[in-house]
Amino acid sequence: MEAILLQLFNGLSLGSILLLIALGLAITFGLMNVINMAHGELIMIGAYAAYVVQLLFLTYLPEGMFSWYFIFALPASFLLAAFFGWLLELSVIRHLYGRPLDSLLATFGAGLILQQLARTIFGAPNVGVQSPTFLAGTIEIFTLSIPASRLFILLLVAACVGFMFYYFYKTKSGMRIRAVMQNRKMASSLGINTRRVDSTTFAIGAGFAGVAGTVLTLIGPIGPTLGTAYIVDAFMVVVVGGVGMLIGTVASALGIGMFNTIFEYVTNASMGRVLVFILIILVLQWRPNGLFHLRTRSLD
Amino acid sequence: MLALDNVQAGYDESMILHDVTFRLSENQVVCVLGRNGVGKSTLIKTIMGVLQAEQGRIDFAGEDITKTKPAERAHKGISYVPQGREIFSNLSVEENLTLGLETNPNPSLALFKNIYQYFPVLKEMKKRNGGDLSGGQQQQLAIGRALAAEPNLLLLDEPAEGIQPNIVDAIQDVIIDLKKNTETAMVLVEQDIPFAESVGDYFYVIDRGRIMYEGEELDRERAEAYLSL
Repeated sequence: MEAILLQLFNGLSLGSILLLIALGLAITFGLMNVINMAHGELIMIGAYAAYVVQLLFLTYLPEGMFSWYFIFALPASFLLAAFFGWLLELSVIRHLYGRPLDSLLATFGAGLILQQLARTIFGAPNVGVQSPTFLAGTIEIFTLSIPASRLFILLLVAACVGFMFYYFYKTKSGMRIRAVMQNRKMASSLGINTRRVDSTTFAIGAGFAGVAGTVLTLIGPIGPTLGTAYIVDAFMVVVVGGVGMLIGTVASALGIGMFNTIFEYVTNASMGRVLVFILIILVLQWRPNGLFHLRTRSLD
Repeated sequence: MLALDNVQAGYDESMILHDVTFRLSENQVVCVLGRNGVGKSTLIKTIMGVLQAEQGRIDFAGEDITKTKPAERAHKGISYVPQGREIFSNLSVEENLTLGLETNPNPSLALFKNIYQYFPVLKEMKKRNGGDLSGGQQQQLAIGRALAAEPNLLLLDEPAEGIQPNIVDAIQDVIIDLKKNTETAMVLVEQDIPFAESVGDYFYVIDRGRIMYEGEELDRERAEAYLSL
């Protein structure tokens, strides 16, 4: 019983990490239809932002304050990644809307540039970020002992998803974003500044990638190529969930996380992975547009 | 209020409108008539700015707006009910109307009361997605959304096209009411000639992208040559 519960938690935990990685992409790819290959590098930027904040705390603040760095790293990574995203949109992507192949190549190139930038500044070897003390150790829930960092990630992801749903579905600027993404010309005819909406939306998506980067520092060391390890997973989650559907991204991340853990438990790590991919192929055969798909009635 | 001078417009290389000169004064309802595919919608889109004029000049409220984007024109007080409604199908009816307030200098939810009075079905459906509505209901929503902006100039592109008769009546009643009780100027693209005659102050008949006839009365005999199939 305990073993099963633990596996369930592991599945949920893996799902939450996948979700956090995919969340930004659900905006830039899902909503805006930009095949953003630099998404992984935006995650990497967020991770290095956490690293820098940590260094600053180590250097300038008394040791007792150290653990607090993480609280500052989260908004710092969001802002820094959002800034890079904004810059990327302004300089490259803006000219490539509606040209998926070109934007794929261009963002791939931008990703390589960002990787090299990180290598130049921080060096090629991986660096480690020390977890804050309050996230080390385990927490006992009933009979399970759960790593505190995993639980924290779960809660953080829930908060991010909650914020995103609130922002997109309850605020006026969220409404504008949805309107522009659905029908750009009409939104413009209603007086919405579509340029501003595009650049803010992309920056927000990039910002969430940055938060994911900070969280990844809790899991392992970080390096300039950190993003490449996650980009496939991120696209997989968004595509399986259904492009353009936030709720689909949530369902697909948790589903993939769960099945991955179950398959790995029943077989072994590499076989589990194979089974997950087979499952994904089957799902896409059954629902080519992803788990959730918008059906609308237009002009009938 | 609105003046187009020698405007040429179209898609990519193929020009649809040639040398169109068009006038509209305050409070006026101008009807644009013509067969399918002669450039009526292109004219409306060029006025809104969804299509940019290739040549010529467009003035609105004393300003040159030839090069401006649709959003700027919307902020100057032009509102647009496109052919094919183009409501936001994934947004609720209420959200669609709220987007109409975007360019209203005094946005107030009280405006919705009037709109719901015109189109009671929108009130019943306000929490539903725009895409759940029938074609006629979507058209009412598109008009309601345009009215929420309280525009100075309302562009209506075949508001009665492909819609069941009772909704056509409701829409025509709204247009008549707007003409009587508000100062909204309108450009109305219409196929229903008797209705156009009943609300129009001035008429343009377009054929093959050129204005073939204009006048305060719709001279049936001369106009019909361009309207009959």
